[in-house]
Amino acid sequence: MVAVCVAPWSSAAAQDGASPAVLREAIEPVSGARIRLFDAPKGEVAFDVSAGGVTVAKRVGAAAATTTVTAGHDAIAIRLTASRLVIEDRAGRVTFEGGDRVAAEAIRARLAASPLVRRALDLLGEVRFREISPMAQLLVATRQFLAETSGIRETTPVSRNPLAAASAVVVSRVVDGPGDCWNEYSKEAIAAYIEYEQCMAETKWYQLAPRAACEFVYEMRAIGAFSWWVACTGLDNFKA
Amino acid sequence: MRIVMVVLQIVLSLVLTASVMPLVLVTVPAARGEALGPALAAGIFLVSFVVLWLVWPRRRV
Repeated sequence: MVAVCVAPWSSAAAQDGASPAVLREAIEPVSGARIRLFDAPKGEVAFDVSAGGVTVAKRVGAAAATTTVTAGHDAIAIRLTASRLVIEDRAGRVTFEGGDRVAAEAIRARLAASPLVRRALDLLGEVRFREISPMAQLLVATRQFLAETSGIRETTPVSRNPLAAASAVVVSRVVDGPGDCWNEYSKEAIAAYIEYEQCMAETKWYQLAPRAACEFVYEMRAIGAFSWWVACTGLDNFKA
Repeated sequence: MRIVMVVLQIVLSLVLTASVMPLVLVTVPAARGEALGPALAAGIFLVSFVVLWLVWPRRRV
């Protein structure tokens, strides 16, 4: 039994159906990592990155920043506030407050020995970014925080300068939830077809130019809507 | 040259699918659901591509 308070935005909570709404979701094609940005109260940021059975979840608020790493039933939570650093895992809780060198060493040793922390560092180090986006900065800051607190220094060449690395991350908009891309496309496609029929009904068969205009507008709307659906579903993420 | 033809066939199939799908959505209400709609679109695309590939003029040997 793991005595760790798993963050409500983590994958474990998601399995319980308690996960907040996903605002944006992206699959980074190089590492295969799934990056999700969750709906959070004003002034807070919540996101997670998962791949290979490991999930790194983070919530940054005004009072505290909590990083949770989960893999299967194992989890470790690192909570940083203005005055203390608290670590919770299956071995228990360690708290560090200013000046306590013993606790600082205990925390560093606990984190350095944790396979979860190493897996989290590996995962975050594999993610590539196309641009210096706020999300990229959050991921880099999270990795740097884990590396600093654990004292794990071996880093891959990419992670030394992750923002400059070539990237292919494409964030696709999640409208409201699964299936909404198709719903939105359906509405637009049906509206386009109905307007096309009305347009054609208003013209005589020998009015070639107006009828061609109706067809042209319909084709553009139909192709545009279909292209939007392809982009919305993330199929265009496969581009090189 | 062959790859250009295939790409052209794929693009034309996509355009055909995009043009036909609104009519399908109007006439087949079940296609408006996420369960059937995308599969139907994929099917139309595949059929379009196969038909185009079959009728595409080939160089005589």
